[in-house]
Amino acid sequence: MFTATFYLNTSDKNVMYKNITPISTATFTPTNEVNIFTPSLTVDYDNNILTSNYMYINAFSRYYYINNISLQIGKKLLITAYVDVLMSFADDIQSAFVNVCRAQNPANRDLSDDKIQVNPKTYFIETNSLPNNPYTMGGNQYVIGINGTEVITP
Amino acid sequence: MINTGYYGTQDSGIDVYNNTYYGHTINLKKPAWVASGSYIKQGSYLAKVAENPETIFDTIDTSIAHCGIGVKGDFLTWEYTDREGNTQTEVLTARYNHYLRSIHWLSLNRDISISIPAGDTVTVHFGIDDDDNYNSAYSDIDIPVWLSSFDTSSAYRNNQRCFSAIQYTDDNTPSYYHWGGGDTQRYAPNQSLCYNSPLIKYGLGDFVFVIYVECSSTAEGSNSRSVTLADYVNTSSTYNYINRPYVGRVYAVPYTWSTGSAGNRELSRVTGIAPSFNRKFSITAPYYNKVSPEKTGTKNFYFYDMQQSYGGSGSYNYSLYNIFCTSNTLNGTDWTTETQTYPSGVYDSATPVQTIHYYYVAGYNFWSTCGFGELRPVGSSGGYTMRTCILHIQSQDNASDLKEYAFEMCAYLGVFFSDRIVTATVDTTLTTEEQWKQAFTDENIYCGIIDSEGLTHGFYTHGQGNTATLSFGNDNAQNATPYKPTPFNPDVPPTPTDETDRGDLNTHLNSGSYATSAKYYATTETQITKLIDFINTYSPTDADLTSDFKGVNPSDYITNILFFPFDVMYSGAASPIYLSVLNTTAIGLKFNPSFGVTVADFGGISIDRYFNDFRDYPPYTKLTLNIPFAESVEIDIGEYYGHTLNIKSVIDFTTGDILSLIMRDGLVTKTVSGNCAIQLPLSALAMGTYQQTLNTLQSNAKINQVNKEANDVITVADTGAALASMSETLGISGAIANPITTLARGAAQRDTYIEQGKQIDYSLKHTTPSPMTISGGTPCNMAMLEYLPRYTITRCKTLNIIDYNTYSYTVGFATAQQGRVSDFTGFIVCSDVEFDNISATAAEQEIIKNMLKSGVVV
Repeated sequence: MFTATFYLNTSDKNVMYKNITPISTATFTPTNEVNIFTPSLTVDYDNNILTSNYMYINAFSRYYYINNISLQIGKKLLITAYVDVLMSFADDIQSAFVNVCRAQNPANRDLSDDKIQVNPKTYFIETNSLPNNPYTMGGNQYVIGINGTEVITP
Repeated sequence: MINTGYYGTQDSGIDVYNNTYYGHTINLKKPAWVASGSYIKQGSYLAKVAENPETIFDTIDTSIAHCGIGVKGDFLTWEYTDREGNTQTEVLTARYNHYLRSIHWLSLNRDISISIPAGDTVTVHFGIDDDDNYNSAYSDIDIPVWLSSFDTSSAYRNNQRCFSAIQYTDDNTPSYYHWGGGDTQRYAPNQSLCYNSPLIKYGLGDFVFVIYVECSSTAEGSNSRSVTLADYVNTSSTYNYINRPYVGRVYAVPYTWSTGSAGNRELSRVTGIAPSFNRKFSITAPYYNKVSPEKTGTKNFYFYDMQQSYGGSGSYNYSLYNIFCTSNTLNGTDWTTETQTYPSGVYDSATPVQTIHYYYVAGYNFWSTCGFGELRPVGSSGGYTMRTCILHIQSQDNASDLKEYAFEMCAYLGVFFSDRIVTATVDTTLTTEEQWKQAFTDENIYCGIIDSEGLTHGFYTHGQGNTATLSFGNDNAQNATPYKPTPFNPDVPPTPTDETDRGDLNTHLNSGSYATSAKYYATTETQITKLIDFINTYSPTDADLTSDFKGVNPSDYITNILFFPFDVMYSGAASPIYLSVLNTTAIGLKFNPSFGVTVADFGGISIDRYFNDFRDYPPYTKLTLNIPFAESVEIDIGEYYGHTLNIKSVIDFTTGDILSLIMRDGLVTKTVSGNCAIQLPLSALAMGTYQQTLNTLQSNAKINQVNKEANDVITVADTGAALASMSETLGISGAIANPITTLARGAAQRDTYIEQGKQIDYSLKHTTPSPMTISGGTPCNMAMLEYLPRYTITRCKTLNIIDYNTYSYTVGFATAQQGRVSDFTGFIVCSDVEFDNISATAAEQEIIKNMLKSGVVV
């Protein structure tokens, strides 16, 4: 007897730690081959399961996206799913060594990014003079240099 | 314990050389670091050998303390075992609250120097106190670390002390060794404190290291001592350290010593721990009560400490570093063992258990002795014989933990040691030497291992699998020097700039004096006009012509006239403008030639980033500066983000040269040169030349007239008495011959002067002053839009409108970072992935990698 726990997943597929809300639990006995990657299992009818899109199978220690739920004769539900590798191995993935080329929170954003399209033809211009004007006008604007016999002592 | 494969014989890889003063040296042929128990300069090798079967002799830094004390850094540090059994190392800077299983070593700064005036005797006690009740008596020290007294008759090298390991009696009474006058202690400049302690049961109390200095004399002026740990010293005659914990710094190179006249040499090596007199040095079992070791217990190991050698007696000096002096032997003069006996009866010599045996050989060249040639006969007054030995540890209880503990203590000390007993009774059919060789094989000769910095950690090694006999030799070099480890910093960054502008515009741009003959005036257009009018209307009077006025043209004195697009930035006193001695009555601000140059400060702007990404840098964003009177320059805007851009201009108002300084936070990063003045093309009349011409003409006219008049006189047809009278008037003596000819000639000359007079008169009427150019014009370089510096930042436009929040979450910003996934948050796209520990199947791993490469939210 195996156990499957059903959830409602509201996270995108590429989110590692899914936001899942438990809905129901069911047990099942495999009558046919149950594939660890794309399991197909039959459980007793449970109205709640119909609202789920995600499940966890204890025996496989894996999480699954529910592909399809179909009603079966005998008040059964046939559920097909495929493995969510991210959630299933989230903790293991955390320890993986990676070379990250794009990130939401990079150390800095100064690396050239070809996804930001720069217009080569137009520019914004910001221009201004420096704030301080040390000059005055209207006074002595001439300098005359004169030779002379007068001795100048610095 | 580490056993690193010490191979103890020549055959197997290590030649052990013995030096009576210096302990052992080891030539390694196999990988290992081995403590030799001492060190020596020449011939001493501590080789870290790679996988090379050949002997590699790597001469060590001779200051290394192979004896195991080694060197240690800056502060008083200690290594201890806490109650959990973990080895801890700390820098002692305060009181501590530790429960200690054991203290491994203390390393104390050598900068404790105590200078003792002549005749004074000082006792210095170093110890460890476990409470606050240290009451200035050394006896209150719970565990004395080292006690010594010394006087000024001794020669102290740099007045520095070396501190030995613990010594205390069996009743734990602190004891000390007193060197009286005549004892000479020599020691290496770098000393250390090594504290190899048994378990110290300091529970939860404070742990204080105290330095207590006791002086024999309190007479004023006689007790001058300086202790470089002055912060921790009361400057009274008796030092009390109750409230003063220690901090010490050391180099830890134990010293050797010698007593008596034989010791009167420079010994820079380290071997010994200070000797003590008739007491033993205990290393007790774990959790041993510090009060009193059991003498006859079965679980104790004891190190015999040293006994002072004094002439003529049967006492011994032992060094735990394999050098000891003995003036006595037992069981003959040959290979023998030594069982310590104590007159005090502390130990029962009939009970050899729990004793330490120092094996030595007297007179046998296998061990050799006294390489320095000062072998003293046994028993001679003041004499001693140096021996070498292997420390032997024996315990009645061979419980492995205690034995290993004792081994560890020996290893800390860096001695050679063995647990093999060799007595003369092992095999009486063999010579002592043969017994010795048989007994000591690789397998039971141990030595402590030191690390590359010369520190021991209680590790030891011994030979393996080789029963070949030890081979010992001698090395007589006596020139070891203390060890100073050189730290290696492979990644020392370059010295950063200090971002200091050491320039001083006022100092370095001073124009200096121009005392030769130049004056500069700042003036207005009105005054310039007035000046020119003066020049053009100047008419020197006769008095001027005969005065000191030497110039002909006042305009000759003007060198240049400059026009600036702004007021000359000078506020001097107004004064009349003189051309030589002529007061033109025009007014100007006369420059003080030492006023230097003017600095115009245009202020600064802060340059901030706009996009906060790569677009803030060229070629997407550019910064251009328009420098008036010079040029436009582009500067790297990236250098200025987060900084202030300043511009200052240095203006020389005597030439119009302007040097603009582009600065970042006040530091000049770029300079631009230009000229901001216009040379004005002015001309005036050369009145002086004109006057001179007039003067000349007038003078010529007068001369001409005189000549004409003189010739007019000659035209009178005077004869006779009239002629004679005329002759008199003219000063002509004698008869005038041919008066008619003379007369005719005079008339002709008169006519000439008349004509010349007409010419002069014409010139006078038609002479005019000539114009001259005073100041040459230069092309106007004033075609600038403005005279204030202007910055222009051009920033690119972005084609795609970016919502950065969405962009970061869905696209992510470009980056190049490495690490584990757990180092990142949010959306990431990986280019390369390597799992460290994952239980997924291969197919799942592939999916995971692909997802990481396409982007996931972690």
